[in-house]
Amino acid sequence: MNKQLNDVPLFTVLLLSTEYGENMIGGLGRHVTDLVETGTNSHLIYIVVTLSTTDQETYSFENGIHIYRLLPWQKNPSNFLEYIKNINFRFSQFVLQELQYSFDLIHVHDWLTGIAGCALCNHTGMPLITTIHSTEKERKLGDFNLLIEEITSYENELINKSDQIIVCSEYMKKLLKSKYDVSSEKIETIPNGLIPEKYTLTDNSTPLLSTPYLLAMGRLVSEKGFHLLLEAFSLIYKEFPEFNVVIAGAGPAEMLLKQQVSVLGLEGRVFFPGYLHESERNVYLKFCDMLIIPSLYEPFGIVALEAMIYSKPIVSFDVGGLADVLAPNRGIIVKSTNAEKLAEQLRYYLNNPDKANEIAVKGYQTITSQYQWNTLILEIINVYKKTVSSYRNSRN
Amino acid sequence: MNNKQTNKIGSYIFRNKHSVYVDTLSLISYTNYLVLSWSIVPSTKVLLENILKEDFNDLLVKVVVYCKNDRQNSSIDFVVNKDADAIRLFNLPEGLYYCELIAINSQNVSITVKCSNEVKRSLIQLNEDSPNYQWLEVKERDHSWQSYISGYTIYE
Repeated sequence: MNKQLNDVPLFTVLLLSTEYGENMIGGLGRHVTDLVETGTNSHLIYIVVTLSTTDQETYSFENGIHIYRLLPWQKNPSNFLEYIKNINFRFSQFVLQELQYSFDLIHVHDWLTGIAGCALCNHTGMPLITTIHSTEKERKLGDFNLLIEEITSYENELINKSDQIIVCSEYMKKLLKSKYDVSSEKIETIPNGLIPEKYTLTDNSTPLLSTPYLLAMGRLVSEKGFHLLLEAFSLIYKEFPEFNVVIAGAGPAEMLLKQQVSVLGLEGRVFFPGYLHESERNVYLKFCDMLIIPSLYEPFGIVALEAMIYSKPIVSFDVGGLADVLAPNRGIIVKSTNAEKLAEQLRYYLNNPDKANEIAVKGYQTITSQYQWNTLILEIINVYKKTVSSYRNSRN
Repeated sequence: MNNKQTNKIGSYIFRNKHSVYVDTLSLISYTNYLVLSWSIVPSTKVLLENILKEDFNDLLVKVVVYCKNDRQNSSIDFVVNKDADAIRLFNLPEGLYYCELIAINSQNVSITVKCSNEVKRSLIQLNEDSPNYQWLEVKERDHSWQSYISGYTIYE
């Protein structure tokens, strides 16, 4: 009897995300995929509306999750923003005209699907929860142009329309309160997490590189700061002839970074294996000597958790939510954001591996106590409960 | 469908379902002409207003007809002022046809509301009373940036 009661779904959640499952580009995709998987195991029903990576729209029911992979009707968008608007239109049109399931709440992730979230909230009156992973002005490091302004206006609209906001770090909470005028009551801080089973390796796995290496991972874009890692490495590589650098990921800055390698005379010492799928990522992480996160902006930095679970020392600048994850003494934080200071810290810890490993052990302990999805999902469920309850009370 | 998906107990392609609540755009082939018909349902008008941030009545709505053949990929467009109607097209070259129903705001931002089915035609008989359309070549744009979009957006 109890088991039957426990199996009753808590809520049906309509979740909109541009990234999901096999279509994973950044930390948002990993977050959403793990959230949905863990939530489904915790008696939530998810209807995921996401982008198709093929030329067809499809529905599938996978491990208890309804997944609709859609395509914008527009085949030839003139620019990025028009593309996003067409995606949001198609998501909304689908939910209003074709979706044959009802749902209790809408959960969107960042402004990319926020336009649809707001439109559907207006049409259906259902409660809207938004996870804000990062904000456009901060992502663009203070740059200003009309596109950034327009995206910011969509973020503001989404924040105002949402019944509840979830952020992944105290840094993001402070930011939303101070710059986006969001009240404390409306924001819940629930960090990113990991599903440890996804990081297991077979005992006979072997390194993909025969030499020791420093690893960096992420989309190859300027805000990830890989150019500073290259500069820093150029200052120390002669002192550590056995060490190489691996920068894993894909993105528009790839050519520039490869040119920089050439200019700095680092050919043969820096490798770009491209985007890593789960199994390759695990092997690279397991056998690296250190993970470097040279990001100039990082509201959380899931990659830090991924290195922690392998007990790897992590080096990063003192930026955003990442500094919260790594403090105190769970990672090596470089206080000044420049290549010289980064090189100094790399030199020190490469010469003192025992000290680096002490920090790595603390990082591993943090993962097991604070950053696992099977406990974090309970906090998410509480936010769902609170929001749906408030919505139902307002209608009675 | 992507081959990586596992444990599928249901999977199907669901476009082209029809219902009175659904926007429609269809291309029907007759002996001497093609008929193009469309309808936009009320919920879509509101969606377009939400996303394009202008009143539906102020939006430009048009149907773009594409023709692909051995020589080129070309298009013609028709401004349509009604949210549901049909038009006949004559004097069409041989090729594969499909069309898009598009709403455009005053900032020239466009949302494609629907794409039609495809119709393959051999040369459609000349009708001297009908206009000869001015076909324009369709230029493909670079979409490589689409593979990098994320919550942490890039578009530089």
